[in-house]
Amino acid sequence: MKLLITGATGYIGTKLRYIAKNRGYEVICLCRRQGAFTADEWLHYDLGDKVPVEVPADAGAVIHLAINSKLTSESDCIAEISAARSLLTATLRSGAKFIFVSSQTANNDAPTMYGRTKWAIEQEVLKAGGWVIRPGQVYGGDEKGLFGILSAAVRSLPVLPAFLPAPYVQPVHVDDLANALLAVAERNDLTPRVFCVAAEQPVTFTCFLALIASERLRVRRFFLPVPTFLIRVATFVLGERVSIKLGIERLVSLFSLPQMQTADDLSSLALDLRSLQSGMRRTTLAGKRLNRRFLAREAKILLAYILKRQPGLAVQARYVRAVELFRRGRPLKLPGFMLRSPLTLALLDDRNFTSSAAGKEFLWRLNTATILAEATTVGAARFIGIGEPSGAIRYGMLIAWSVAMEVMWRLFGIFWLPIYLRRLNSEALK
Amino acid sequence: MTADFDAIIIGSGPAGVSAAFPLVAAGQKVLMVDGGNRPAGELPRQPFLTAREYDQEQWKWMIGGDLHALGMHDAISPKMRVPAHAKVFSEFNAANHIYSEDFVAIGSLAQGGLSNAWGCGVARFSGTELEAFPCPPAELENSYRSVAQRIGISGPEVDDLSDYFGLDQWSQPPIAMDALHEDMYARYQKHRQSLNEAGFRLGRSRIAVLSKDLGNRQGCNNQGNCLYGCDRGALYSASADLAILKQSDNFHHQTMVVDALRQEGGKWLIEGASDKQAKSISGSRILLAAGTLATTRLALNTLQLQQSVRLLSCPTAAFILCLPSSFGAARQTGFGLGQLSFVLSLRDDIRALGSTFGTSGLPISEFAHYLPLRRRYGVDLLKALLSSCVVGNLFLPGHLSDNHAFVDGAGALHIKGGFKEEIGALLKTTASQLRKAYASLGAYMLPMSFTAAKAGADIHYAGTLPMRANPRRGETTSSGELVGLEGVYVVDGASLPVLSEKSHTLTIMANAARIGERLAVGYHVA
Repeated sequence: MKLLITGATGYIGTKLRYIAKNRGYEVICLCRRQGAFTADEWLHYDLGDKVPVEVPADAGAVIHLAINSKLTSESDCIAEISAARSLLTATLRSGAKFIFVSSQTANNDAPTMYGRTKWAIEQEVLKAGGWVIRPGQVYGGDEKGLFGILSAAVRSLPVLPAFLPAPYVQPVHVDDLANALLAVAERNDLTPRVFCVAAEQPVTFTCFLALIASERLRVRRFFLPVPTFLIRVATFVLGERVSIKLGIERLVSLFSLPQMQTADDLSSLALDLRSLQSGMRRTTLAGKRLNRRFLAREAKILLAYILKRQPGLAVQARYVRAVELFRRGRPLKLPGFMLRSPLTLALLDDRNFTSSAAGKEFLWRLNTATILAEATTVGAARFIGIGEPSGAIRYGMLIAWSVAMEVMWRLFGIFWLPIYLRRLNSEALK
Repeated sequence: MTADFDAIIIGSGPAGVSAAFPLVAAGQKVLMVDGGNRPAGELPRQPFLTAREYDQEQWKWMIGGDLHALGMHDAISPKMRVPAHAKVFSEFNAANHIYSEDFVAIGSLAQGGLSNAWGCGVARFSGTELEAFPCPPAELENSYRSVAQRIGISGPEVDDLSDYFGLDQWSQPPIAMDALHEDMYARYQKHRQSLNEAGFRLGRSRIAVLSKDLGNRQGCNNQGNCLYGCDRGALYSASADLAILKQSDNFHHQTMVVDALRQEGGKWLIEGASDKQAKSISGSRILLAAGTLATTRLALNTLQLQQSVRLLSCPTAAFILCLPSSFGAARQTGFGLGQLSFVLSLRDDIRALGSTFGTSGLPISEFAHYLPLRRRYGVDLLKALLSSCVVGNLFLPGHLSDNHAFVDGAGALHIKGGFKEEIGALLKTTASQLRKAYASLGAYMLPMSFTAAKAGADIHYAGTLPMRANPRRGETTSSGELVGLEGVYVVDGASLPVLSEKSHTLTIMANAARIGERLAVGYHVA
C-alpha cells in the first residue's frame, strides 16, 4: 500500500516511516526539503503552501502529522486549519483515507491555541469522513518531540519538579502509536471516528518523569514539590506570547488534560500496549547490554534459589538465552532486597502470587530455572542426590525440614503478602 | 496409461511398514510417503546416572541445544519435551489441518511416526475382543506372530497375565526389574489369591523392547535412557523397519504430506506438497497409514462425507505409589518403561490395564510444579521421596470415550473430545480399588496423585472408519477397503472396529500386515 505521511521527519513521523517500510508499505514523505529522501520517497509539501499538494491516485492513506507546534496568534491557527483542509480535499479527491493525528488536549475550549486548533481540524476531518487519532503522552524511541524535551530535562536537572496537585498523563509508546495508525490505514472494518490511543490508567506526571530517570536514563533524581498555581501565575505575568515561546504554555495544558476512555478504542484496534516500564527501556545496543546484565543477575538469583548454591556461569548463560529466545529478553523487575538475597524469592514463589496474572511471568521463569538447574551435574546432586549420602534418616529429616520451611513461609506470608502485593506494581513483573 | 506404482502407502509408522513388507515380498512396486521429519538431537552416550553425574553437556540431551524443552512448558507429556523427539511431534496438526477442542490431538510427520516416542506396550486382542473384526481370527493370528517376531518383544514365559497378553510364545526373556518392582512383585506372590479374587492381577509388562540383540538392534542393558533416547535401538521404532524396506529395489520412499486423493482413469492420484512444491503421483491402490487422525481427514474428504464420525480413545489416568520399605534408598539406574502391569476387573465388561515405571530416568522438574510447596522445598521433598516411588498409568476401554470428528467445508478435521457419563464414577472406583490392592503390596498411593487426563492424552486413537461385515459408506470391508472408494485401503488405527483397554499398536500392525498379505496375493472380497 502506498502511504503518504506529513511531518515524516518529526518524532512520531520518523518512527512511523520506519515501521511502515519494514512492513512493506511504500512510504512517501510530504515535507519541505528532500534531504536524504530519494525522488520516489518525497513530495514537496509545506503547511504554508498556497498551491495544494497532488495526492497520487494510487495512494492508500494520508497520515497528517505535521503541525506548527508554536502557534502564537489567531492567524497562525487559521493558516494551520486551512492547510489541513486543503490536504484533506486533495486526499478525498484521490480516494485515499485521511488519518489525522490530533492531541489529547483537543477541545473546543482548551486552554491553549494548540488544543483549540487541533479540535477545529478534527471537526473538518470527521465531517469529510476521515479518521482521527488522539494519542496520549507519547514516549519511547528517539528523544525527540515533547518526550525529547522531558528526557533532556531529566538528564540535566538533578532536582525535578513534582507538581501539586499532581497532573495525570496517559502514556503511549511511539511504536504502539505507529501500529495504531497503520491499523487504521490497513483495516476496512473501522468506521471513521475519533480513536483515543493511550494507556487506560493515567499515571502521575511525576511518576512519568521518575520512570524516564530510573528505566531509561538509569539515574537517580530527587523531586521537589511545586504548586501548580505558581506556574499559572508565571504565565499571567509573562503574557501568552512569551509563555508559548518558553514552552510554559505546554505545561499549563498538562494541568488540565481531560482523561480519555481508551479501553474500547484499543480493543477495536486490537492493540495491546506495552507497559510503561518496559517501554521506557532503551532498545539501543547499550540498552540491550544493560538488559542482559539485569537478566544475568536474575539468572543468578533464581538458579541460586533453586540450587541452594551459586550457579555455574554456563547455566546462567543458558537462562539468559532462554529469556531472550522465548520472552523477548525482558528482565523481571525484582525488588532490590531479592537481588541481594535469593532466599527471599520464596516470598514471590507463593501460589497466591504465581497463580495470579501478575505472577504468571514469574512462574514461567521459575519453571525455566528449575529445568535448567536440574540439567547440570550440580543439579544431579541437588535434585536426585547423586554423589551424596542417602538413607532413611537423612531423607526423613530433609522432608521434615522442607515441610517446616514451607509452613514458616506461609505463616510469614499471611502478614506479608497482602501488604507487599498491593504495593508491588503488578506491571513491574509483567 | 498404467499407474506409477502398484501401491502407495501414506505414512511410515508401524501400520505403514507392516503393510509394506508382504507387498514388497510379493514383488509389487511400492511407494511409501511420509512427512520426512527425521528425529534429530543428541542422545545420552553413557548410562543415565553416570551421564547425570559427569556429563557437563547433559543439558543438550535433556533440554536441547536450541532449548527445545523450554518452549514446550505446556505440552502434556515429558516425552514431548525431549530434544531427541522434537521432530517427532512438530508441525503435524498444522500440516494436516487438524483442530481440536477438549481433545489432545497428536500425530507425527516423522519417519517412523509416533513409534519414535511410544511406550512400547504390546498386547494381543482376545477372541472376544476380535469378535467385532469381520475377518477370520486365524488370519490375524498369523499376522500377530509375524509382526511380533519381526519387531522383537520381551516378557516372561508365564505369569498371571500370560493369557491376557497372549504373546509369550513369541517373546524374548523379560528385562530385569528395579528393586522397587522386585519388592512389589515378591509381595504380590504372597497375596496373590486374595488379590485375584478382588479382580486384581499383576504380571510383567509386555513390551516391544529387545532383551537380546535382533538384526542390527542391540538388546537392553538397563542403562536407563529410555526417555531421552536409547542409542542401542532396543526400543522398537518403525524407522528401523523403514531402513530394512529401503534395501528392496521395488520399494521407494519419498517425502510428501498428502493433502488429497483423486481418482482418474482407473487409478488413484495422491496430491500434496513435497519440498514445498505441489506434486501428484499415481498408484493402482492407496493404503492409508497416516495415523488415525490424518487418515480420517483424507478419507472423509475424498468421500465428501460431512457427517460426524465417532473417534475412539482410551480414558487414561496416572498416579504415584510410594514404597516406605525402600525409603531412603539411593537412586539406581533402571529400565524406564513399564516393568509391571496390572489388570483390574471393574465390571463384567470393563477392565483397566496399567503399568508402573521407575522414576530414576524422569526429570524432577516434571513433578515439582504440581507440589503445593515452594520450589526450593519442593525439590528437597522430591529428592528425598522419589527414590522410593514408582509412577503408574492406566487405560480404560475406548467405548467409554465420547469423541467426535468431522471435516468442514474447507476440508479441515475438527475433533471434539469427551467421555461417557459413567467415567467419573468408574475412575473413582478404579482409584480406590488400586489404592487397596497396592497397599497390600506395600505401595501406597500418594494423596492427590491420582489424576485423570484430558480426552485424547492416551494417543490411542481408533475406530473412525471401522471394518464391518456389512459396511456402509464411511466404513471399511474386512480388507480395510473404504466403501465408496474402490482401491483405497485403511490400514492404521482408523479401521479397528473396537478399542479395548489394551495398547492397540500391535493389533494395528497385525491388521495392517494382514491386509498387506491379502493385497499381495490379489485377494478380493466379492
